[in-house]
Amino acid sequence: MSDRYDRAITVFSPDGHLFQVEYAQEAVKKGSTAVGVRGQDIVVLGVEKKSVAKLQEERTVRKICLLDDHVCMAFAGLTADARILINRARVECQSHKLTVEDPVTVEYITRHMAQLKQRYTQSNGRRPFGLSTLVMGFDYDGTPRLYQTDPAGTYHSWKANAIGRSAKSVREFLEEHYSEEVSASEHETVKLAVKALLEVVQSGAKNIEMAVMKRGEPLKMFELEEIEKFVAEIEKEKEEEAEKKKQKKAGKET
Amino acid sequence: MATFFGEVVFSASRAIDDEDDDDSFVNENSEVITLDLSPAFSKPTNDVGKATDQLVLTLGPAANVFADCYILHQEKETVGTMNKRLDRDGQPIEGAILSRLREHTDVLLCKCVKDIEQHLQFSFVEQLFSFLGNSNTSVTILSSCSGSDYKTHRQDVSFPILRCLKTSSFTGEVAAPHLEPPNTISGLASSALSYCQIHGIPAVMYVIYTDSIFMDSGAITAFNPLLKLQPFRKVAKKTNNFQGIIKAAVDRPSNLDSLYT
Repeated sequence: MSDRYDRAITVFSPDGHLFQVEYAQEAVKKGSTAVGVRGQDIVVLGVEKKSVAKLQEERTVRKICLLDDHVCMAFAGLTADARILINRARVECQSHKLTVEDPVTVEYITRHMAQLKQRYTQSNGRRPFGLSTLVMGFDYDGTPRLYQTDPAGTYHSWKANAIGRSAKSVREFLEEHYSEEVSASEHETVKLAVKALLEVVQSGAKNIEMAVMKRGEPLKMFELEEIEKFVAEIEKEKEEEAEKKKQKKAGKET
Repeated sequence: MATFFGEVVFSASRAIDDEDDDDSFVNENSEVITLDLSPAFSKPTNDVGKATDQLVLTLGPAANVFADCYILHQEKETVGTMNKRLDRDGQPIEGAILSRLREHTDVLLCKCVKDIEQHLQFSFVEQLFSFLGNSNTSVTILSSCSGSDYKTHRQDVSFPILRCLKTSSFTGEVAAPHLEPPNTISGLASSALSYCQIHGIPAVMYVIYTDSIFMDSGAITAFNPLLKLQPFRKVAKKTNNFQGIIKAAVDRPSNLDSLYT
């Protein structure tokens, strides 16, 4: 049935599907996982680092990109499409600054990207962008923001979200562990993002990249040692948890 | 000029004026393909060809992995190799491996590990069948093609699909529908099948049409209907490492896959 309705982007199927858009969402699942968590004073993006070829320059394989001094994004999906979208967003950030003499709000630039993506779902001869993005940053009034866009051109604000491979299981983890207490502490917010990524990243800190933004400060990319400290702390907590459970069980049996 | 019945010759365009003197140009006439037997099988007393009732020729990655999963993991002996050489005395490049199972010495498997160029195909087929020398040998050819080559009016085609072509002397059961016209087969599969048709050898060729440019497990398992028929029914045993072999064949190194990040 879908054979007749999935070739052209501008054709709805009888049951209301736009198959090309849905297929673009499948392309997102082929990208590695990206996680975003919004705290009260901090916003965090964490990504699963792709392994690079031996002769490849690692710094050219980046999932986290700055759109402006106060806005940053991570993406999952087609690399080439991401490059185009990021370039357009960066130009728009500067154009906005020159025109209205104010930096963009996170919502504005997210909406701009979402509108661009939507346009590509409604014109003939084009295909949708095969990527989802997590856009984070601080508005000029100091409010932290986290938005997600998808290939259909929708965007929503989130407290915490994940995109890419295994996004569903990471999102479920975030739903279970996110709380206002966690978001109140900068340390706990970062730890939550690392913990969520460790659910799907096999080999630990060396395959994780973290970026944080605090109010009034520029974007900070974590060094490997800093991420390893978080991973060590999380593993210690897990061991203590397991030990407590064991003792509890032993206590019950006696 | 066509060298055998059914050969499709792609002639070069005369519109291209190629004046460059390319020193690295390989003279096609000097390239040869030779059947080199293993020491154990090169003795005159060891007549593998006459002992072979069934020949299975696998072409392409999907057919080769299918053979690895069901046949070649068992105890086998290498009968010989079909080697390409730039000239008679050149370094051999392994083109195909001939092996047979210790338990079923009447079944010979020829696994093509490299593409055999058009100008070598006839020689390949001739040498292989001359080696067999047994007019009672039944031949099964497994190959694969791109789905974009499959011509049909039907809208509801979903790949992979399995089709077959057989010689007029083949009277056995087939495991797939016949390949519909105007679809044609080219390459080594076509050379081998044509040779069998001309010489009255019972042969059936199975071809998988797949829409993935990379190897996928669907293309390999699409050959599964053959397991119910000879010779696979007799010799095929699923390996314990089935998933491992499929995964190794299907996995592309993730660091070379730069399409998605």
